[in-house]
Amino acid sequence: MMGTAAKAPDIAVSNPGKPLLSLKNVSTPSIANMPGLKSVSLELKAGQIVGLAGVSGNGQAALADVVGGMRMPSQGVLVLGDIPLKQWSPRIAVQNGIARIPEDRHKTGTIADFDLTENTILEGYSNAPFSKGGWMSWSKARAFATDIIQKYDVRCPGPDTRIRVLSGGNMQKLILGRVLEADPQIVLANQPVRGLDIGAVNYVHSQLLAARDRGAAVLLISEDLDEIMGLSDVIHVISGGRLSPPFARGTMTPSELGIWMAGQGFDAQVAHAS
Amino acid sequence: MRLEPIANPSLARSITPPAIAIIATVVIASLLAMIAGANPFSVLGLILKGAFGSQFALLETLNRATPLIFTGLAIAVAFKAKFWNIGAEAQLYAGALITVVLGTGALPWSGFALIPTLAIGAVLAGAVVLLVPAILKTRFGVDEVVTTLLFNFIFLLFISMLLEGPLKDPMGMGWPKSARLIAEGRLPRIFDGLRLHWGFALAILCALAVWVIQTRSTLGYEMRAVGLNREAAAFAGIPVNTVLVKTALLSGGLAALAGFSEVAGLKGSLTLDLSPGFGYTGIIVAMLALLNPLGVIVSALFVAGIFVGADSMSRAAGVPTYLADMMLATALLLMVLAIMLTRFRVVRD
Repeated sequence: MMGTAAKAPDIAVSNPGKPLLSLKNVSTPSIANMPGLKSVSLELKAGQIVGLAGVSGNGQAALADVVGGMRMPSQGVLVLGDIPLKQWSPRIAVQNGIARIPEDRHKTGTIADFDLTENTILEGYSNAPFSKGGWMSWSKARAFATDIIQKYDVRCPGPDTRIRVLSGGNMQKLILGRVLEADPQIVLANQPVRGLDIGAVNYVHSQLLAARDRGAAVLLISEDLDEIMGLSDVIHVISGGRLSPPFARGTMTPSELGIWMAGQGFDAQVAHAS
Repeated sequence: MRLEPIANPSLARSITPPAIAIIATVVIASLLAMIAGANPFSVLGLILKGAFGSQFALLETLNRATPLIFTGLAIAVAFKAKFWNIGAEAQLYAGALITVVLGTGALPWSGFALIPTLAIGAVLAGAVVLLVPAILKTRFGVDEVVTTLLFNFIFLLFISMLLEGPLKDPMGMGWPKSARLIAEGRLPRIFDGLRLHWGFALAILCALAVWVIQTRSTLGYEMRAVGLNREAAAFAGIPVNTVLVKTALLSGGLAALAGFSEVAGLKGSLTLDLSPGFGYTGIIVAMLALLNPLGVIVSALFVAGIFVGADSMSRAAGVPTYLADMMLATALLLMVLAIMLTRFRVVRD
């Protein structure tokens, strides 16, 4: 894995479609030392990767929670397709075709003492064919896990292995398989390559691009500016819970983005408005 | 020194520490017997003989194991989902209470109708008793360890009040006990002439049912996921609070069956000494069984055997029966340590 150089994939220019998920003036309260969102508006369009740049702890977690179904905005609206959402939960998010790659694959993405089969069906377990009339079909679940393991090249002794013995990269591949297998409309990738080796990084990136190319809307949250600039068609900067306007690919230099990340562009914006 | 998790423990790693724990328990029990002034080998021999040495002893052990299987299952189910039900004692008495309220003549039915009604009534009562702490926990974040534990005392005093008042047996010579169940409400014996009632069979059946629920049902999958990693379960869309409430209902119902089975199978009436702490001993039973429902049967037999064996040993050797409590406490502590050592290795820095 080590010999492969990390290179930004050559990306065809995207051809964005209609917005699949929109946040309109969304705010959330701050929780403990995690800042909330301050009137954030964001559009996730079909066939487009939206990159979220910013220093960690500036509201990324709150935004990921809102998009991923973990939290309902306290103000503002969340619009799925063109329907404003009244109810919102992880399960509703999954049912509406949102693939969620969580920030912490050990703590929130997987259950360490569950085997690969049990982890693969973590989001879909309550639906047929895995569950029927309140009973699990473990043979179906195992077949599905075996399929994911093959398709997404998860290196492991087998579907009955406890996931805690897997490397971070293989764990992430299983999560990718779990959420991407159903051809989701929207992909929320929160720090998808943190702590992975080069080979796994390239793999995850290629999967995100493939999702975009078949028409999914991708929200990529990362602290790595190179990753954001390499993959995103549109970049937003988040700082102190505020979201910058969208910047098209190639229109901003890293240092210009850095100024926004430090929270300065927002003040200028306010000054203009007043 | 620190503990380091072992990714894939070997077979030897999973067997050796528990085996050492059992041996150490025996050694410590021997020392205690010596302190009491008896020959340790004869004491251990007498416990074994008193628990399993004769048909009478064996049946006594099975009878004593019956309520422990129910409470052990109740604890195992709850702890598996990391819902800390310390209140099996209260749920047991709730089951017993419903059994005497409905079974002492209020429902003049045949046994075929009455016995299942009493059992279901008991299950519902136990479930309701645990529902209160479950809702307090899921709605307001109140620690269930505190609420379930304190509920035990409240409920026992409530039973005491009832036994001194409305439920007091008019024929009871003034003793605080309830009237006796009508004959139709008594659990029959499994074999003619042997003192073993159908409560034992029901307990085994429940253990099998719980095992099937945990391994095969959707709820079982949810309960295990919530127990192993609540955060990941919530993220994946498992309705954590609903699962915890369902777990509580199941756990409370199982514990209440212990009360039903003791009243309908053995005692015939409700007194304040119906349970010598079966609800608490259930915690030991469940922990020794590593929360495995089938293991609960084995560990309940082990725990019951030590109690019954110690009773008869005490009569023969003059060693106090408290030896049994100390043996069980030692076994529990050593086993908890051993279980940790099967999954972690001690590293010296």
